[in-house]
Amino acid sequence: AAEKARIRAEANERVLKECNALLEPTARVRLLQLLRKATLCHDDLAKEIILNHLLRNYIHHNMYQEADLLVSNTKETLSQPFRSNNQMARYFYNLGRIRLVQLAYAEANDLFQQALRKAPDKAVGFKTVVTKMSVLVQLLLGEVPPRSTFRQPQWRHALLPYLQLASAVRFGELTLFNKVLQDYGDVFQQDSTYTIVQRIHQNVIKTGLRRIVHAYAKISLADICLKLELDYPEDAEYIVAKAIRDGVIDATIDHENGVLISTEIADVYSTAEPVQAFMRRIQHLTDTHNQALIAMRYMPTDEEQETKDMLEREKRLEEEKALEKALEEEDDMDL
Amino acid sequence: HFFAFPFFFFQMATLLNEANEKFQAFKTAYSATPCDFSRCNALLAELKELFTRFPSFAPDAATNLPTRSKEVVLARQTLEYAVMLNAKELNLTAFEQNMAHLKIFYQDYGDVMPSERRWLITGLNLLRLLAQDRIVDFHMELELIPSSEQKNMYIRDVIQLERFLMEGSNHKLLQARSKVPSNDYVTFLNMMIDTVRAEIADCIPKAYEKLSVAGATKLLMFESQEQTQKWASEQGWAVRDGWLLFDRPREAEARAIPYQDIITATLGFANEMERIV
Repeated sequence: AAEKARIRAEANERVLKECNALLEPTARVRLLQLLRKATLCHDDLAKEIILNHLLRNYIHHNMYQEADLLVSNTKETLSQPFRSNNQMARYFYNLGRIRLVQLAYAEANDLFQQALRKAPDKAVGFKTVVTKMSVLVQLLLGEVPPRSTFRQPQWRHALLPYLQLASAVRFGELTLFNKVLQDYGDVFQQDSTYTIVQRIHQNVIKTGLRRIVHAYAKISLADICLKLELDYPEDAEYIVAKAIRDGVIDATIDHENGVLISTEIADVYSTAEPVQAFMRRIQHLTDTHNQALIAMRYMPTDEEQETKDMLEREKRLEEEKALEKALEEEDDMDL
Repeated sequence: HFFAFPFFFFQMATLLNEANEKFQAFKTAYSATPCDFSRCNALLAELKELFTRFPSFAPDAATNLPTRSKEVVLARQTLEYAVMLNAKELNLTAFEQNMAHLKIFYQDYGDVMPSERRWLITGLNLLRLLAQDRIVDFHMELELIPSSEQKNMYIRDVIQLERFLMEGSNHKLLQARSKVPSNDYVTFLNMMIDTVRAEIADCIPKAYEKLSVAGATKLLMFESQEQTQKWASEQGWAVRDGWLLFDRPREAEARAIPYQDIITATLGFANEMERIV
């Protein structure tokens, strides 16, 4: 058993080394040549694999401009749906990371969720990484992911810094956020998510503001400044105005008295909100249904199996014929 | 053949000397106050023409030519000054072109001695993207900067400015203006004010029901009420007796039934149902 483990470890190391060799900048030229060849030969699976490797290379070197250009150029040539589910999962993850840097958070979230669905259950490492990214995107969108996402036994340890981050955002506490940034800065650097985590700073303020507006019908701007631990009271007014414009909170500012008056509509059902929520869900279900339909395909033809089936069919036909003949002869004999 | 070789070197040497002289002239013209932009641009064009004749930039050049590092450094320096010149004269298209050219020098010529002005120029580029409100491009550029350099004084200040802009802490933004890391940043910081003002002007109609002109003057960072009034009339805001009035038909809107949307959606659903059959 120890022998087997050793052989397995060696094989893993070899694969890892090959994969890391593809991360070198010099590998890009070769990969692009291979991609050209695969496109000319209409080799869909090869195209997907090479594309994923190229994207991985670009993202590793933070070259998001080039990665975006590559995606936009090859989008139409990819077969829908992909030939391999694993490649599809990787592709969605890479695309999600590009969109994340480009501030297209809703799209990125969608892509990460799809990547999680397509990935096989055994791919724990991949799922951990994708979950980390998806957590970050959800925080940037202003939603706090449920605690259960963080507590899965497979990635509980790896996601601990992100759990702290989510708490800071949920309670809108800037001091906690800064502390988390300091304590776990190295982990974020290793995950290459440090710059993205810094962007969450503004979400901390937004969630804090939302909690305040929910709780108070009228509150002075100076008090908001204290609660959010902002440095300048003038900034409180600017920040609140920006939040209202962005649709984070529903309120009015009274500049002369320096107060914020919340205009929460008490009864949601009297507005158009439920209708829109229904529409969104129905749209989502029909999309899933259509995608499932498109994804159905006939099993690829297996030559051996087909000939075997054909032979069996012929044998059966012959037997039936022989049986018929025998029955006829019997009838004749009877007669 | 044998005699052509030293002649080749001689040619390279004279090209380099000529380029050096022109570059010195360009540098003095740039540092002169007031700066004569047309003369600088003319010198720059001549320098760029000289660069195309440099042997190291020929498509099939060997990578170990003796004058390579000098040529690369000279070309790079010229482009850096060109970028700073474009910043001074606020020629943004030329800035972007020269910057793109310069980026190649930073990224690809790793064997040549690194430029001391690299992070200043990178910070300047980031600031320009911020002032033009191109946040997506700003972030993509930011990703290219290695994390070790993000503590660099040029980069760090610009990152902070972006954070202030995103949060909306405009007061902190204005204060940061006084602590510029370099004089070259001044033109873009002034551009930032206009960007920030446009942001605030966008927020005001949605956040306030009524605002006094005095208050608006303070918020929009104008110096006098007349400026605010002029700005308000340009924006199409209603002014009455020294008050700016904004109507927000929120309540009515919220209770209206979106007929158009519902009809479109229902037709869409009927379409889907037909398809299932």
